[in-house]
Amino acid sequence: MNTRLTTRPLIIQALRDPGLLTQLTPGQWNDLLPQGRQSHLLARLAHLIRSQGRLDALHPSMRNHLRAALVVAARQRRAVHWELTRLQKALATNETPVLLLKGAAYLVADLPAGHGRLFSDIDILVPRAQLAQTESALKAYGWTGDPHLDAYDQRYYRQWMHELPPLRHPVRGSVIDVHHNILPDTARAHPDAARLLVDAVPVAEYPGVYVLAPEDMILHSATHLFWDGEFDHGLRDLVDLDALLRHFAQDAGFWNRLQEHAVHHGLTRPLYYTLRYVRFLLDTPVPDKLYAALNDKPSTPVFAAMDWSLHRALRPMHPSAQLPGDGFARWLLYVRGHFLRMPLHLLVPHLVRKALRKRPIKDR
Amino acid sequence: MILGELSDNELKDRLKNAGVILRTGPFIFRIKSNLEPVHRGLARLYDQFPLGDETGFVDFDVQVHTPLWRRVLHPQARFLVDGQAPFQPLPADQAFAMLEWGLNYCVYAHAHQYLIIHAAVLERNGQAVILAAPPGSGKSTLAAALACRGWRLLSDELTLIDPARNGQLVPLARPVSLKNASIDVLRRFHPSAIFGPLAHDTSKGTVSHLRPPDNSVARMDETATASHIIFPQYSPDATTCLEPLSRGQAFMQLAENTVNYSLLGEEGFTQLADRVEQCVCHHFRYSKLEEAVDVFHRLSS
Amino acid sequence: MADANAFNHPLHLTPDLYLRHWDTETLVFNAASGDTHLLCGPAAQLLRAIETQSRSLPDDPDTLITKLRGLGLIEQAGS
Repeated sequence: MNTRLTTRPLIIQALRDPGLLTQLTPGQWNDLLPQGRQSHLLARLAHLIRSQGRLDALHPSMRNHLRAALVVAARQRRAVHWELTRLQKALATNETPVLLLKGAAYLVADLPAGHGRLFSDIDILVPRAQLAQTESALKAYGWTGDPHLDAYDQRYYRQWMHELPPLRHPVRGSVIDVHHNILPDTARAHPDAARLLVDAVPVAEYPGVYVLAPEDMILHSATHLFWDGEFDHGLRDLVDLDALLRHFAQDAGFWNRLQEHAVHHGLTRPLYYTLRYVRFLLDTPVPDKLYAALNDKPSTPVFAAMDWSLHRALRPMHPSAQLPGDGFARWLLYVRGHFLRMPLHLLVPHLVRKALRKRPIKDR
Repeated sequence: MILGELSDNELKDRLKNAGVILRTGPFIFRIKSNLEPVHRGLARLYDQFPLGDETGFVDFDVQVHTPLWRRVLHPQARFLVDGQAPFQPLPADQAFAMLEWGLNYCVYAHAHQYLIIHAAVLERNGQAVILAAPPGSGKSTLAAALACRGWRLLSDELTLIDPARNGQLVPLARPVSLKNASIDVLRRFHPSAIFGPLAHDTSKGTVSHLRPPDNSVARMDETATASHIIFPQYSPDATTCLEPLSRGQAFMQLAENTVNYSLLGEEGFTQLADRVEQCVCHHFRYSKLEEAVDVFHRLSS
Repeated sequence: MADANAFNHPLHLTPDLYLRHWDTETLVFNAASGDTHLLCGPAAQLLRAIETQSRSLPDDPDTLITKLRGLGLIEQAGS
């Protein structure tokens, strides 16, 4: 193993031990800040050092960058809360409650993973039978579909994916993704969406709003991270998982339930990868027994290629942190992600179409 | 040490290797480039700017370069910050303009410790005038003219309000970006004005940058207090005319030109409203630069 | 002048509002939504009356009240 691989990028070291920030040289700051920006983790780091009461101990030049990141995170927090009140209004007549996924869920459930986190879209989960009703309710309250989507795109979402085409609010600019499951129908695994809804837990602060059960929250984030194929947010998602695991592990029986849920939903593979990399990169205390029992690896050569790729893709996209082969590793994972989501006879035409369509945009 | 103290070869060498550590107001940039217009532009317009410590902290690490294989056939300039390219490449002869846009980008994309108004700001006799208007309204031309007539230039397009320092305005003192006919208008108005490399056929037409006054650069660490908010509008046959603007109208127009107004939430609102309350607000129509400068002299005396 | 008692519930400002009163203008920032509104004339007068719980509302306030409620600036207690 080369030494660069075993040396953790500064942003990871700092997230593990925010006190480190008071000892960094200016040259180290020059690596840390861009690493944090590229991996969408600067606000998270800023939150951690502020909650230790040490933000003001930093030199003003560096502190300004952390302050600026906190400004963005605070605004996004506020916007998600506001969007949620709009969403509640729009879906008040729906038969089932609003189930929030990912970032917005961490925020409203006040989980540590939501602190200093950046958001883009709001993701919700509804029973498949209520997709149409949910879509028309949101459209009645001003959200609109992307008019540029053609018939192929519409079919891509509605027939194959586990979500509707994104709905955007033209005035507020917010985007909602309505899901009926956490993986596409065309994927190899078929999580039990009905069970996810049954196990969901209510949010005290927002009547009628639910989030996934702790175990399912982990599985969803793990699935998204390891089966999606795009790793621009990979490290951020892994940091989310670390924070969620540490928090939920305080509850006795959590690890057993996590294993049970993973088996039930057919998601032991992404969970195995999650535990492997949170341990390796973030020292998350995972019981050895569970890790050994899970041991859901692919065949040895595939596993070696995955390991090689993930060790690269889970690092910040900045020259000070990247390993040789970074671009190739991300490409491999991209292709693999699509392969896992769609069978080959659908995938090949889909990727060709995407590639052809991207070209004229690039030439502009 | 200032940039002008480097020999031409030293400047070139630093640009190609370790980078030039340049300070402009509160920001320190490491600039690397293998393109001649960048070298020429920096030598001509930034010679009075302080150089930072080579092993010290830099806020943004930027590069304007052309990949080796593109140098011969169809030379292109690419702008990179933190190793990523936020814009599409441009023809290589636009490299210096690209650097200027790139430096602006770093500030408005990341420096949210400030409220950032897309506006020019100049100071005279302790009174700072914010010139806010959408592109094409003659804001930069007016700012350039005032800078040539003894006003201290804080910025031609990024007005930084610092909430941590009581809403003081923070200077950058960087060159003024001028477009198309404005370049010749300024040359006639102030024949000794120094310009950087011309970039032809950019998305904004022909662009060139005016060297900031030495005195503005020397005072780049001195903040200023806003006294006037002016919304200028150039129109070819207009008679020079200053019209009072209600605070509410001024606020709404200023907010529209504030890059991170919504991001800063109540802090943005409070800062902007406080500035409007402490300022006199006007609409300003003009066609003749000399008359316009006279009006501003009277405002600040 | 109409009377605020004409309404079943007293009106009040929604939380999280920041206000500036300038001559005949009232500038309102709604921190929850992030929206900024500039009110003039009777609308500004109505908002001020509600803010200070004054009884002197502008004439024919119903349409204005509906409008300000639509903007999320005022609400009725107990609603």
